[in-house]
Amino acid sequence: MCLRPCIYWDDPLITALSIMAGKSRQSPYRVVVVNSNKKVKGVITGRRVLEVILGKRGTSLVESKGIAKVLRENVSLFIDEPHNVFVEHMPPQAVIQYMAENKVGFVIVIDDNWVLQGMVDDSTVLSRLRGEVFGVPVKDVMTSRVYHISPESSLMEAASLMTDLRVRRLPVVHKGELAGIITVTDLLNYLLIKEKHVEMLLHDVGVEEVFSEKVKDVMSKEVLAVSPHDDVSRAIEIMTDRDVSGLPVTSNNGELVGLVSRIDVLAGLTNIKGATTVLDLMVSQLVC
Amino acid sequence: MSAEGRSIEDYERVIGKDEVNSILELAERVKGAKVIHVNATSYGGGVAEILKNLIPLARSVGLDARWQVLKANPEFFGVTKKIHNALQGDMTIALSEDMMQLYLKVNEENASLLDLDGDVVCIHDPQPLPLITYRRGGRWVWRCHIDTSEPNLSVWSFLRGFVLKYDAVVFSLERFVPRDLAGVKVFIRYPSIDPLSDKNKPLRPSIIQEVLERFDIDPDRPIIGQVARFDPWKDPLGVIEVFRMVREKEPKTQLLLIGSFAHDDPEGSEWYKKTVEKASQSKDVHVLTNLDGVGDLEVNALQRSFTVGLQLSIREGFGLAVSEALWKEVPVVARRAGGIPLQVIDGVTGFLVNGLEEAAEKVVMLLRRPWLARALGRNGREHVRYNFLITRDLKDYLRMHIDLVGK
Repeated sequence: MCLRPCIYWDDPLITALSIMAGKSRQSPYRVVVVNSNKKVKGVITGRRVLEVILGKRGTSLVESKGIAKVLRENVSLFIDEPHNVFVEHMPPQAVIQYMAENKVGFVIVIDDNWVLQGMVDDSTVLSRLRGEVFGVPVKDVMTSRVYHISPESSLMEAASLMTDLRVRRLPVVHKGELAGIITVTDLLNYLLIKEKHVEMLLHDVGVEEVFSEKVKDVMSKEVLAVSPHDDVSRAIEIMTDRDVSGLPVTSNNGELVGLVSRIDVLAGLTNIKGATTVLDLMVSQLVC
Repeated sequence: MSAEGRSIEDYERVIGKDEVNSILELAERVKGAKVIHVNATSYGGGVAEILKNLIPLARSVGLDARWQVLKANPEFFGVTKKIHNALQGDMTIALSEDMMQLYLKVNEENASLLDLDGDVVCIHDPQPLPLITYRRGGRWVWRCHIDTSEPNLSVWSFLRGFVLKYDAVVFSLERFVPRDLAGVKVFIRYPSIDPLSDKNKPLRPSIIQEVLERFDIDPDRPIIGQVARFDPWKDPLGVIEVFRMVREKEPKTQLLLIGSFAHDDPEGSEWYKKTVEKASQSKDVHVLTNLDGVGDLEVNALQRSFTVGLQLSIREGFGLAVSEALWKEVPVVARRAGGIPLQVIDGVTGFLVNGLEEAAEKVVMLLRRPWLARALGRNGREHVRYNFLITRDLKDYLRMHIDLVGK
């Protein structure tokens, strides 16, 4: 179980943006929202913040108040109810099995009074599998149907595509070859690190204008990828060491053939190797 | 439909004052909003069950929530059952021109019969889906309770045009979202059970005893059972097969198959007959329905008498009967269909199985180890308490209303 940052439900939405944008492990993709008694009230993800900025969530409020005011509204209006909640004395294998069986990337752990105790997420679990070799090729657990974007596309197009497709990352493909990757977090970083962008939003400048730069200017150009024939242990190693949630899968000639995420690996391994084998490896190290 | 029932304050003893206050605070943002729910039946099945409890609760927090039911004949429901089965993956179904015309005509007629002038109009499942064509205002939401992960594409492509006209769509699971809905606002919402309804509220042992005696069930022998519609997707015949295998090792066991006939389910009586016929070949199998006088209270009492619950569905929208059993501390042996793996955690709240033989093995294991059945049952109740109660569902709806019409 890990203790990740949480935010209070009456914090402004812009606080969520500030916490999520950043390059370090302390800048999570999803944040638990609590009340003043630390009772769990919900969860907000990077994609949700992006959706609000694009006017695709909180639609009525964005239409009536404008994004500047909405960014100062309580985050509690935009969160999701906590849907995968476990009380702290449930056995760890129950949590992991639940995540693998349902392809759920995280669960919230509470005490009997709904007070937040921590989270178990796919990165916590996967880090416990680092160093194991499974004899399972990446192609057996990856997602083959992959959407991608051109480096010449605008950030607005990338943001729209990610929210429309309900994904948090898009491989960037140039002339048939993988040229980089762009994520929801990259877009939030772009907004926050170049402070003028947040300023623009706070002055109700149109989001198209804020997101007018090109994908190639913001994407990660260092291409971390695996081959479909690599053992999943290689994918685990890269995702754990580089703290990335998913990797493009490329053929020998650099063509994009799939994507593999942390939860793909967890669910796939559990399915192929059997729950007991995988759980034994994980559980022995999970509780620290 | 009339909407009388409990108020949010009644739930304070289950969820605490703090959570009740959170709900009231959210509701303040959409106070007075007229929210109209439309579905196909007022009785039988999970959707009617949810709406029956949710509408009064929504009214108690200040929404002008209403429930309307489609008016249609059995021929229409014959067509919509085919649509339902096609969406759940029956690839053999093809809708004829006449079927499509009947489906559209009944919806057109209902558009003038029903009050659809809401701030938010929630259309449940495919039966009333084309009503969107007659929208006069408001924000419209399609709530799909079906497993649409592998739909019959010819039927889905016919329906998709209507779905795209909605302001938002709601599915029970992420994997149910069809891939060709990009650009549509999608909400993922788990359904819920009402812990205070007649179907789930606490009952005195004397009431359980009385109900068992009324249906000639021996309270001193082990009881296993499934609560589900009579429907091929629920595999009632498979349940009887499992029972036969269980009886070879635990001969005193009794089986209860409890279902109801919904107005929108023309296959129900056919599958009821098949089930009764197969049941008649074994001793101690009780097939009970609303026509035998089994209402919500009786279902509650009978389910509480189970040592083990079964849910051997092949496909499920979600499978809320599982949560209803777990809430009563009954461990459940189930197939991995729909939302069942969210409710049954293998070895923790019950067992997930891949076939009938495995199901029988797990049932026998639980019958012979009451301590294990009790432990899994307790875990199950706790899991439901934190994830599948109606108060969470109400908050999900309130958040969606705020998104669409909030001030």
